[in-house]
Amino acid sequence: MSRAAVSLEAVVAGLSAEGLLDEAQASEAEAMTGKLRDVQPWYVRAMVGFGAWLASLWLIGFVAGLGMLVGGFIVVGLALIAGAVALRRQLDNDFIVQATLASSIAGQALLAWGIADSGPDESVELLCSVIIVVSGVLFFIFPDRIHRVLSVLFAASALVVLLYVIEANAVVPVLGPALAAALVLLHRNRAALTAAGHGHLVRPLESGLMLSAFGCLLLSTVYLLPALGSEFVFYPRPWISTVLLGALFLYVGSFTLQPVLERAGRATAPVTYALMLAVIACAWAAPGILLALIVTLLGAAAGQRAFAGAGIAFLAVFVTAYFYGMETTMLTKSITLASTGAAVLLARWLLLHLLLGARHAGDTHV
Amino acid sequence: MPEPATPATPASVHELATALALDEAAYARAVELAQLRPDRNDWRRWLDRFLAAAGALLIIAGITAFFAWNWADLHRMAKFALVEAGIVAAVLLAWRLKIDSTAGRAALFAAAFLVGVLLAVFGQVYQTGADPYGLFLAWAVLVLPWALVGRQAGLWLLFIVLLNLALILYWTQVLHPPDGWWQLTQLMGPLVWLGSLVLDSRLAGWLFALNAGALVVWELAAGLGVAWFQGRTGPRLLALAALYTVLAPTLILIFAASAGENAEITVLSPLLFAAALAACLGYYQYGKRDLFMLTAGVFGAILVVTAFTVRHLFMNVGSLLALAVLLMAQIGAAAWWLRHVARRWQALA
Repeated sequence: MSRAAVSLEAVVAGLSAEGLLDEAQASEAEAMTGKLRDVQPWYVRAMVGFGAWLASLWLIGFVAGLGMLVGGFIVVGLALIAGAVALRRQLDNDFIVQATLASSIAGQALLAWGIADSGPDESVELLCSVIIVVSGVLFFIFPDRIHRVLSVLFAASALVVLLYVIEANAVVPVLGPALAAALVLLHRNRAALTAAGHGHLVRPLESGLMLSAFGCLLLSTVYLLPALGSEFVFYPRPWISTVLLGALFLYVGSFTLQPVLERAGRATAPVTYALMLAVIACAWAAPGILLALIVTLLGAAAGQRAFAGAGIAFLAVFVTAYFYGMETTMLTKSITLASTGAAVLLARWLLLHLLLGARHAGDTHV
Repeated sequence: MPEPATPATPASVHELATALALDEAAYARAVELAQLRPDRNDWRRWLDRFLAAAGALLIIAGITAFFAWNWADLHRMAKFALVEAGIVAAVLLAWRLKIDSTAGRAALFAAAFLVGVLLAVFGQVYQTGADPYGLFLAWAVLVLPWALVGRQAGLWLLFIVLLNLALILYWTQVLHPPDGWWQLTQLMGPLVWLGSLVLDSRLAGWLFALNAGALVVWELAAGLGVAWFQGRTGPRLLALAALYTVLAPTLILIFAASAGENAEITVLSPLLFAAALAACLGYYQYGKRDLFMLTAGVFGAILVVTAFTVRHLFMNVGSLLALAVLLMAQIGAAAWWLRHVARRWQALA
């Protein structure tokens, strides 16, 4: 949503002119802008990521094929992880990025395999706990953005499995909103965390939390046939997620829309909150819609197209998954989706007229 | 020669703030200077577009769910009336909002899509017995006038997708119906059935010609300055379709032992792939600069080299290690070369 293409060099010049950069920072900024100019686009990074995954699978196959004794996988896994961390902290070229990413993923898989293979019946709990701990440690010590995002995803996935294994299903509807709340908190404190020297952790943590929250909310669309799952409830009481995400939606709306609300008439704030409450009520059976709105709103307010785009993509994915889920009848889905859509369109019409004074909503199209 | 400017994006500003350990005030000021926060007009534009799109998506999904709930009980005339009313409403909306506006374009695209739904309902109600390729061909013919007057890339992409589907279905249902156990692919769903096209080099060759031809026309139109052909999404999708329809049978050919005696895979596919790759790397490096196209081409080449190595090297456990190292080396070299090309372009800019 940025208006014009401002260069990073202009930003640095502005900060220097206002005395916000000292001499050392100014010279460091010059080197940094050159480095940032070289950042690979997403499709090159996607290709690199695919290569890392495939290579790691082959590495796993190689090690598994050596026919080691019990405990051997754990040792080799740990060695691969340690080697990858050590090498990645020293070097930063494309090949090393590839090799260390693949080695670390392969090492983690072998470690997990070794633990699962050697433990007693309760080894799944142990396995999940180890994944959470290892991912937590690697998040801090492995200096790679993609790896850090994966660490958050691995930890969140292991946590979900652990909750099911220890039969704490009731916590699952809280987990997605909790991850989303952590994302919002992180987003709001970006500047403070960066100033405290944790800036390199913020973006991967945000991406990982967002993707993990998406995954958790998609679980709400999964339905197990009673014949298969007996009394197992996969996602009990989705309305708990709706209530929690609804509260978060109102909170995010309060600070993202504040710059617009404070300059509009007195009636606009209550009307905006009433509209948000109407959307929450309509989306009662489909909490993923609220998560999509939260992420999109955060992205739009910060000018982060990737975030806004991820929110929109998740909206489409969630609606599709919700449509094909069998937990509720088609009539209930129809009422939920159509009423939420009507509430969103009503919100658009009222906001454009009340908040922004457009005579005709259609006039604003570019 | 001066260095080209680095765009100030949320990501680059954050990286800068991290590297310089900016305090909170300086970070906030950097965000302001970069004009990353939306102003009133940005908000109006965003609210207008996003809420309209999200609301429309949810309502359409809700209406679809409603019809799925009681579709079988509806009278056939009611079914036709509903779909036709949707087409008329979408066209009227496109006319009212102007076909160059975002909403107008979306409405016209929706109308073009609903034409296909109408044809499908017609086939379902009257059980005409016609081959399904006719549906897609008729749909493409009916959509063509709207594509001509619609001035939007989306309608042209829909038109080309429909031609692809019509060609695949005509080939697999009329000209060369699969026999033997290949018929089973029809029972495994439309995606598996469509996927079986990779087992016929002739069909893949025609599909390549269709998509590559469309890509050439698209790039020529873009070069002539036609406004609605300036975006890069359309040509990139066409290039992927052209390149990968011949890449897939090439990979199958490398592992030909498992393709079966009925597969019609010939050396035509690797030849077309090699020609397409050379054209892609040449034109998009020295003609129209597009790093995405180069990445797609290089990635295809890596897949071919890797498949060839797997076919001839895979003999024992040790070869898995060699394959992993080879793949990492290829990807690393490709990433290095793409970075080198991007730097060269920057220096020339």
